[in-house]
Amino acid sequence: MDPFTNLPARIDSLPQAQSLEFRKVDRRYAPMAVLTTVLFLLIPLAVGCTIAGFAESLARAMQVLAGGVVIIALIGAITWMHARSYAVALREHDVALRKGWIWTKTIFVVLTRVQHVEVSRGPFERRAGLSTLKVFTSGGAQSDLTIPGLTADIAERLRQQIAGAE
Amino acid sequence: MSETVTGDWVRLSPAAMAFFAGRFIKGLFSNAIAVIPGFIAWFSATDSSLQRTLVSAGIALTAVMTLYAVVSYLRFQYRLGERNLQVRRGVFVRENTTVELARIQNVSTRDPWYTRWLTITILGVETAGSGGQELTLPGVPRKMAKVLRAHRSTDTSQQATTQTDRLDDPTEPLVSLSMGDVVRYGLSHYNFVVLAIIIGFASQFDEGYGPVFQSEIPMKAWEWLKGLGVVSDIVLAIALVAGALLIMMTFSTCAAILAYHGYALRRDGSRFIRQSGLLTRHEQSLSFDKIQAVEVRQNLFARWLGIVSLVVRQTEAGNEEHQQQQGRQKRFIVPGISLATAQLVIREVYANGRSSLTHGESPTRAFISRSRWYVSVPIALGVAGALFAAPLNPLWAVTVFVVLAGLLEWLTWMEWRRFAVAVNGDLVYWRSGIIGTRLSVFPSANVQRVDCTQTRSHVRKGLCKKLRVHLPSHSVSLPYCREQFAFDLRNLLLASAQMHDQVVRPASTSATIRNVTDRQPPLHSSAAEPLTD
Repeated sequence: MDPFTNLPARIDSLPQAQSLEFRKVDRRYAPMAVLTTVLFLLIPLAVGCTIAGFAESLARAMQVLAGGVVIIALIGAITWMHARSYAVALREHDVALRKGWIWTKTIFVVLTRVQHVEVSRGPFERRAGLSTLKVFTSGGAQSDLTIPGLTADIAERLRQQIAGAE
Repeated sequence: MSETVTGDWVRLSPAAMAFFAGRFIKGLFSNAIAVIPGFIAWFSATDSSLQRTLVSAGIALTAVMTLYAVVSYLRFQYRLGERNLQVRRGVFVRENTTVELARIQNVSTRDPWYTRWLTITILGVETAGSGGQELTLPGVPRKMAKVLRAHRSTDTSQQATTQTDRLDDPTEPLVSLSMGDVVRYGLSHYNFVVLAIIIGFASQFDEGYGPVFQSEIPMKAWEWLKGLGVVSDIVLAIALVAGALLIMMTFSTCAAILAYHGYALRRDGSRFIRQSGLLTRHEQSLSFDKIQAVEVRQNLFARWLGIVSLVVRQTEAGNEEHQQQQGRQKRFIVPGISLATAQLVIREVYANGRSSLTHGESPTRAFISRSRWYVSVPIALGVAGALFAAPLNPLWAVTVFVVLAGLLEWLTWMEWRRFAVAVNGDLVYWRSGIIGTRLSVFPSANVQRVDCTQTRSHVRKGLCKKLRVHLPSHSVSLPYCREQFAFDLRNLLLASAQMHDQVVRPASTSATIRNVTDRQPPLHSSAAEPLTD
């Protein structure tokens, strides 16, 4: 059979996805993501400190608190870097998302395969004036796409663009 | 045709009561866990013996079953009109269902052994958008399947007459399996080697096998074996593995015979019709436009026996649970065929399709060096730990390390050799596997999403850590490939997915694929190449 060698001849005429310019998501997304994560992690820490304080001593509670703060700070830093890495790009026929700080993953979803689009805004997102765009394809949960940290205006425009291209 | 379309409400054949009784028993078994405590409570509440309780429980269950079967039968009515099929059913909850004949996608029939000699069948009707849920009509005239098939969805309606004619026609099926073929498939199908090895391994550490060998002769044999020392252990392990394998293969062969006896696959217009089954005869159809990918699978045993299996993949939407529920019935398998026959079936779906792959892009050597790192470090740590924690002989430690690392290195190398991706015309070929082989064939236009993962160091080296392509049915991936290849393939797949606003049509209706066939050998003529590495 013809091996893969027939590809390079055609490839120059194809649109080049790798030269696409990505646009970072809103600057407010990283602080919001860190805040959400940290607040969520503070609950078990508070419980742990209280138990340590009552069951043992104040010193032990302080130790737990110090350890917890270090761990949460670490997780917060990782979350910050991860959240900062989100970037989107839209072409005529596909939508792209780039994410990941160490392992950078670039995802392209073909617009003609999109079933429906959803804009969701959680309580923290509403405060920050941000939205999350969810793109659902026909192939089950694995091939869906979630784009966080978009301003309400851009999310809405993206939604219309993607829905219009279906 | 006319006598089935009466327009009146009709009862099922009384034989349907057997079906309802069967369904009751099935329901009882699947709820056995809930039934057992009730039974125990009843047993302890009454003073009678276990035997009496069992007998009375049996009588009560039989009575309930009979009642259920009779009432279900009495409450089930259907009406086949010119344009739709209506069904009224339900014992406690009344259900009325109307199915437009034009919207029927698939019509399947099942003939259990007890209705084989009658002119009735169990009919399954699947409509577009029903998500694989079937409407089951047990005990209707066999002719009805033909009537419903004649009304199938609009794009095939113009071929309806020829299709029904062809069905009655004893035309040569594409694939028909003899008893030998089915047995071969049964022998190869279940990949129990790993399990068998684990059992053999586990028994090595068990000293409590004495009670099994209570009687005189096995005892003596056991003593004799013990006297042989290390040899005995090896012989015993081999015997255990072989025994376990034999039992599993017997089971698997029986299951294969039950499911696939008299297997025949025919092409009917733009769909496959498949018939099989020993006790219950199944007839299932699958239209080509539902096919997302075709997979050629071959495990170790199948390789030895020189056979492959085809799995036709369809859209798997919905959540995981839903998928698992439907997984079995959605799998459309062509079991235990030769590679040449697989080629023939693939060419029915994709005109220029092939069942094997001789060339293709593979992962770079980085795949092996990276795996080596991941593999040897944990093993070295584990062995070092064992050396210090337990009084392990250093020679043993080195041996264990070398054996384990060597085994994993070999498996990694096998996996590296299996990976291959190639594009030919509109079709993409994606091969993977470790000991067995799996080759996915799909039109490039079916691609939904493409992922490419890299770290900065990968970018510097011009590598792509993982290229993953999502289809509506499943996803395929290629690790550690050249960045340029990943980008080229991504551009190609995205472009071809965007050029077709719909899934590529099957060979029979698509003009684009037909053009490609001009350069290919005609259908049915050429033999397939072997699945080489």
